[in-house]
Amino acid sequence: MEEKLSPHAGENISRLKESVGGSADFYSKKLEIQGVPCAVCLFDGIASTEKLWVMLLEYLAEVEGPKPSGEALLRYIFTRTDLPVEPQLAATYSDAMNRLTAGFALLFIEGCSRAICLAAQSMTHRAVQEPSGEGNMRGSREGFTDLVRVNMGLLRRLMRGGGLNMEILQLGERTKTEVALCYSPLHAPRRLVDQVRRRLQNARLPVLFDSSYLTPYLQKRRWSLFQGVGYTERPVTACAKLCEGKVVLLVNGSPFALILPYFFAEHFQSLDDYAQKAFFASFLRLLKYGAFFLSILLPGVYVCAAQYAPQILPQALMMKVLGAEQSTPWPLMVEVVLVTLMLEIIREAGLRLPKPIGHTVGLFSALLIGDSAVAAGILSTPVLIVTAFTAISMFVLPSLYEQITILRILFLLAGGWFGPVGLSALLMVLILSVCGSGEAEYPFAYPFLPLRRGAVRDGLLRFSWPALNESSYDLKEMEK
Amino acid sequence: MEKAAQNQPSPLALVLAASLAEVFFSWGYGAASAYPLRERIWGLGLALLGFWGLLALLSGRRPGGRRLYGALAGAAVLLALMRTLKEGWRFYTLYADEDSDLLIFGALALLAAGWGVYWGERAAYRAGSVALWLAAGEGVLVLFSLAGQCRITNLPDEPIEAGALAGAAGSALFFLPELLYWAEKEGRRPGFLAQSGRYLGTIWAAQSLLWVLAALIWQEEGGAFDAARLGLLSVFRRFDILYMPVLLLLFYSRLVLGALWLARLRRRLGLPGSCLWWAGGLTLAGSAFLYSGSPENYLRGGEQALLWLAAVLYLMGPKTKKAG
Repeated sequence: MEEKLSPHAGENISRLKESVGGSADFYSKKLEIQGVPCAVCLFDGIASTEKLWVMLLEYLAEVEGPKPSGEALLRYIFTRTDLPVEPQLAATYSDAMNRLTAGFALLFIEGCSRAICLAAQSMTHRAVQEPSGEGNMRGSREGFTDLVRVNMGLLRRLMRGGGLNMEILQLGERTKTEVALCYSPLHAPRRLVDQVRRRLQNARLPVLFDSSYLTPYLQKRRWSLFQGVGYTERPVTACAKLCEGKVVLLVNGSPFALILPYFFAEHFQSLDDYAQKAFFASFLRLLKYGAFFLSILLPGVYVCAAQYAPQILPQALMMKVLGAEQSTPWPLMVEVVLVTLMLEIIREAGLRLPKPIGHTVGLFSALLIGDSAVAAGILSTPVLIVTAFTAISMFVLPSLYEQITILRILFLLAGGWFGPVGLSALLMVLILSVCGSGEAEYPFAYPFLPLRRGAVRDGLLRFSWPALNESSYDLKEMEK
Repeated sequence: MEKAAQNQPSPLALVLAASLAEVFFSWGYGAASAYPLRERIWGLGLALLGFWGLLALLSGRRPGGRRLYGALAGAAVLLALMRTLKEGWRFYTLYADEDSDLLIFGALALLAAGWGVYWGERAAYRAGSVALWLAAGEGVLVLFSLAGQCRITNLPDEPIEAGALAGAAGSALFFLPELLYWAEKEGRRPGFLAQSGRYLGTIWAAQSLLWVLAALIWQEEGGAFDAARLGLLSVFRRFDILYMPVLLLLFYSRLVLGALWLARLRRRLGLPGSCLWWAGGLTLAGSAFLYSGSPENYLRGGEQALLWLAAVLYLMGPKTKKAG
C-alpha cells in the first residue's frame, strides 16, 4: 500500500474501494470543479457527507471560471481558499487510507497524484464525564474519554504554559491505533522520553484496543508482580504527572492514560490528598499503607497464628477463635481459602452483570454467606470477619487490586502450609519484587529506596503546600 | 548507563543484614560465650579490629589467582550456605515450629534466595536495607518490652583479666564470608575503610547488646531470643513469634547474598548458568545430610580455612587505582 496515488481520480477511488472490499460505509462521488474532473470519498459514520457538500457547494458558489489544469486547481484550493484542508496532502494509498479512517474526506483531482484532505469528521463519541473508577471528593470532575484527540485537547487545556509536547505514533499492525506520547520538555528527562519512544516503536502488536496492552512492552522484566506503569482516568492527574517530568501515553479508544515511570508510593496518593488539610491527608496516607499490609497479610497471619502460635493471641480471643473453628467442618486454612475465593467470585459476578442485577447478586450472596452459612455451622464468624475486613481494606487501593488479590492468596497458602517460615519467605519475595521493579534509573520503591527527602514529605505523609513548594519535585531531581 | 551507575545502591545494608544473621542464628562468636561478659565484649571488639585491619590490607586490590580464588570462595560460600540453612532451621524449630521439615524449610529459603538472584544486586541491596530497618525497629521494640525486667545489679563487676580477654578475642576470630564479598565489591571505592568501620562497629554493638541484655535479665547465659520471649507488650501474651519473621528476613538476606555471590563467581569461572541450580540442590542436600548431628562442629572449620585461603590469594592480587 506504499504505492503512490494515480493521477487519475477515478482510478484512485476504484483502488480504495477495492481495498475495503466495496465496504458499505465507503462513500464516493465523481464531480467536476471549475471544469476539472474530480472525485471525493469518505467513510460514512466517521465523516459527514453533509458537511462535505456544504463545504464544497459554498466554495463552488464563490469561485468563477475554469482552471487550466488539475495542478492549478489543487494549488488554488490548497493555498487560496478557506476550505478546512489538512496541511499535508495524501501522496500514497496507505496515507490516503489513514486519513480516511481518521475521518477526513479526500478530494482527488484529475491530473494530480496527490489528494486534498478535507476536515469533515463527524464522529460520535462518549462525552467527557466524571471517571467511574477513580473517585474523588474534590478537584476536577473531568475524565478522559475514548477519542485520543479529545483527550489530547483536555491535557492541552490544562497545561497552557507551552511545556507540553504530544507526538502521535501508530501501533497495532491491524488496527493502526493512534497513540499520543505526551511529555513536558521542561521537566521530562530526554533519556526517558527516548526510551519510551523506542520501546513503543519496537512493540509488535497485532491489535491495540486499550492502553493496558502496551504495559508489557514498556517494562524490562517478564516475571514482575508490580509494574512501573500507572493508569489514570483524570486529565488533571495526568497533567500533575507531566509536571513531575513523567511521560503520559494516550491510546485511541481507551479512557485510561498510562503514566510512566510510576512508583510504589504513588499508589497511595490521590487527587484529594492535595486538596485536603495536610494533617488529614497524612493520616489517610498512613491508613492506606496500613490497609495495604492488612489486606495482603491479615488472612495469612490469622491462619498462621491460629495453627502455629495461638499463644500470641490474647486468651479471650484465642478461646473464641478455637471455639468457632471447632464448630465448623473445615480445617481453618480451607475455610479461609473458600471464603476468599467465594468473595472474588461474587465480586466478579457483580462486576460483569448489568449494574442493577450486580448489586442484587452482591447483596444476596453476602446474606447467604454471612448469615446462612454461619447459622448452619458451615463457616465460622471470625473467618468471615477477617475476610470481610481484608476485602474492605483492599478496596482502599483499587490500583493495586490485582497484586493484593494474588498476594493475599499466596500469603494465606504460605502461612497455612508452612507457618512463619512461609510467611517470611514470601515477605522477602515481596520486598525483592518491590525493590527490583521499575527501571534502574527510576526504581519502583523510590522515594523510600533509595531514601530521599520525599519519602516523608510526600510519601509516607503529605506536608503542607508551602513546605512542598519549597523545592518542587520532578524526575530530573532523581538524577542529581 | 552513567546515570544507572549513579543509582546503584551500596551493598553495605545487605552485607550488614547478612552478618547480623550470623549474630542472631549461628552464634558465630559462640566460642567466646565461654568467657565472662566484659572479656567477651572487648575480645570481640579486638577480633573485629583485626578484621578491620584485614579489610585495610584488601582495600584497593583485585583478587589474585582469579580462577583459584573463585573456586575457593565459591566452595566457602557453599559451605556457609549449608551451615546457615541448617542453623537457621535449628533456630526455627527451637523457637517457632518444632515440627518443621528441613527440606521444606530449605526449599522455601532457597526459593527466596533464587528470587533475589533473578532480581539482581540492585534489588537485593535495597531489600537488605528493608530487612535492616525492620530489624532495628524490632530491636527497639524488644528493648522497650524488656525494660521493666532488666536488673542492673545482674551485671558482673569484676576487673578484666588479660588472659581471658586474649582467649575471648581469639575465639571471636570468626571470618564472616560477607567480609570478602564486601571487599570485592567496595574495596576499590573511596571511603571503604570508614564504611568498613561502621559495618564492623554495628556488628560489635549488636552482639554486645544481645550479651548485655541476656545478662541483665538472667545474670548468666541465655540466648537473646530467650530474653526477648520474656517481653510483654500490650494485649499480646507472647510476641516473640511476631519478630521471628523479621529475624528470618535477616536469614534470607544472608542466603540472597550468598546466592548472588555464587552467581558472580560462576560468571568469573565461566561456568554455565545451570550450575546455580546445582548449587541450590547441593546446598539443600548438604544441609540435610552433611550436617546431620551438630552443625557448628563439622565443616565450619573447612569453611573458615577456605575463607582464609581465599583472603591470602586476594592479598596477592594486584593493587589497582581506586574508583570514583
